[in-house]
Amino acid sequence: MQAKLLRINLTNQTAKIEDIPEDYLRDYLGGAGLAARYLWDEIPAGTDPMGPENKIMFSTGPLNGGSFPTSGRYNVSCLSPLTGIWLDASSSGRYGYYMRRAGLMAIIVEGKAEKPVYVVVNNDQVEFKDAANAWGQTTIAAIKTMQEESGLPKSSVALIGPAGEKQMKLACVMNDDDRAAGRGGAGAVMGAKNLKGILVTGDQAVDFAKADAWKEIVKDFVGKIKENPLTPALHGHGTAVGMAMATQTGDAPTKNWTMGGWDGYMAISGPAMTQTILRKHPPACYACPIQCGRFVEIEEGPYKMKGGGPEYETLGSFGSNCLNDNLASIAFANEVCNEYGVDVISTGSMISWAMECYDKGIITKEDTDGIELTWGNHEAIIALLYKIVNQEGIGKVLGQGARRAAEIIGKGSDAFTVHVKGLEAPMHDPRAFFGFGPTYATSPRGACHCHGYVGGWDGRRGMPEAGVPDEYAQDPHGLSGKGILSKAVQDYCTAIHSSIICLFTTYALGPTELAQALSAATGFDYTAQDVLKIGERVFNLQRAFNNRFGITRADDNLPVRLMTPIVGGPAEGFVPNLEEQLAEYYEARGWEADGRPSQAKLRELGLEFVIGELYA
Amino acid sequence: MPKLTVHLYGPVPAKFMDLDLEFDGAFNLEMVERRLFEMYGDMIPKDYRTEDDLFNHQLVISGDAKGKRVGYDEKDISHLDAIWFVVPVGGG
Repeated sequence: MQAKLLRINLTNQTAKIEDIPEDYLRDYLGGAGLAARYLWDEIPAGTDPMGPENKIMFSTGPLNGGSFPTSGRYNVSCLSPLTGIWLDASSSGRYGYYMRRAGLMAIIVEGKAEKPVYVVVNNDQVEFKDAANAWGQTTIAAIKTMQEESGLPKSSVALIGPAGEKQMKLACVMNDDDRAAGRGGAGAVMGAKNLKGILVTGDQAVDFAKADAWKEIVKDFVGKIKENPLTPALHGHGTAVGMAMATQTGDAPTKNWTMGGWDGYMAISGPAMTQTILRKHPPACYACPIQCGRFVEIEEGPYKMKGGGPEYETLGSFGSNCLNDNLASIAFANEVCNEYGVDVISTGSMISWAMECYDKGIITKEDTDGIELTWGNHEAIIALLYKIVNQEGIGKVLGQGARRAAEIIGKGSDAFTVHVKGLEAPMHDPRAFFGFGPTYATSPRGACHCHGYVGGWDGRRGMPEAGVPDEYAQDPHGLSGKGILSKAVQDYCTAIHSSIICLFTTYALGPTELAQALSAATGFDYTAQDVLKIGERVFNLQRAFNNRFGITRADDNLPVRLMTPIVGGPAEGFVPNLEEQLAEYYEARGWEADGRPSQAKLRELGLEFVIGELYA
Repeated sequence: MPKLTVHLYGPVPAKFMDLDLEFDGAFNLEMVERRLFEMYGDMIPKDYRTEDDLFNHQLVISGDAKGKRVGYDEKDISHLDAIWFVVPVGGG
């Protein structure tokens, strides 16, 4: 298999194409895996995340560029300015498809431009353009500006909004209007580099090694995904179906993670959205048979908008976690986040945390410039959101993320921040599904439900290809096996993020199917165990990267709030047995007690090249 | 005549339903499920059902309005106003 990498240097405004070594493609695939392999070599200890020496890598994978289901995806990786450790964040839409059509598997951006620029990649032509018109624009307008100025309307743009330009640490990378590589602050890194965006397009053929088998596999897997009983639920009501189920699962965080059994879940659920503000399905992400995206419209009032509808995570962060059952305000907040380019999870989490600070008298109306930050006050939520995205007043503090904001505000406010390693937790409660416990504690980018999409297994099924029996999964409050389940799901999801397709395919496609697809695409012969081994290799390399930046066993933890029993709802009284879970997990991972992968494990995975540094 | 509101969220793909059932007297979970299978049985995927045409409770959660689990061991659940049947989906 052959694939190309485009290396862009913003300081010198130069670009060059490199061949990606075949063993990288075989052993790390693309996406997050390829990024881990390159950035291990290129981001040394001591790198300043906001300095020109930090690098940002955009990568797609071997399953992208054709018609494989959900294959419009791409990955963004760098040293995170929010957490100070590894970051990969992936996004759907069409960007990954266009990267492959431009003949690229990956783009690495180095250095810093003297003044704001954007880059146009059209097949093998690379042009650095003055971003004078796009800089300062919100994301959707800036996409239009770049496409019009370059004369390339049939293209996709990965870019930042005004929040990224201000180098806000919750800033994300957006594409295709409402798709986001949301987590960890990659948008701030682009802002620090004076890079507004990268437009890609091309018309190169994308070859798949075993063409006939590939066609059959694509057809078969589209059918499998369509037949899965969860597909119509996601298609009909979007990811917001999860909110309708919160009453029964206790999964949705409520009132800054303190309570369950709230009466407001249904008012902000997927079915409620379908019945009220849903207008149509937006253009689906490229080659997606699920089509979970929403297009919503609020025709009048203070929250008048039309655009991408809120996902489950937005409904949790701006809804239940703030006790806000006003669906229109959440849709509006979602649109503001997309236009300014900020992570909905972290930003909403900062508002629910600020509400608790206000409730406890730690901050007052004087601190908020008069905003009455009471629970459920949707007008206050929007007012505070604007302060955050514009970096005004207390918004400057909140925009630095939970860990830093609690240090600044003090007064015991760190006791109810909900983050791991500096990344705010997504909207899934480890007290409802114990599998999230070790998953959040050990995810390479901090609290994360995507690096181990354990919600797709916990309470449901094991993973036979990894030797994980159903009994470890089917009781969401089970006291044994969650560490082993978490490890297996992380490995599989890391392979998914390296391939690079949507996690929602995992309801229908397991490691066996992924191996079939990767074999047909690349010409390498993979088994299900090979795929899981690739995931494990990449996960351990990301861990080694984090060890380089100081992460140890002591950092693998859950915040106090998530180790405190919840009041009300189906998760009432439950707290994950984290120490036992982590003991299982560490044994399954083959990690030392201090949090480093053992030398034997590193050798087993072909990661000998990190041993010298980790065990110096 | 006891009534029960049933929220069927997930067991019938793409049909999120809120429906009212009436019973002649005391009833239990099995009776509710038998009624639902009479109405929608041909639309319920095999993963979500047992060989006896009841819900597979490893995948379908049944609970009251506050999320307290409801099981077959309760002989009479006519005191409930509502019952939920949910197939959990992790959000995104």
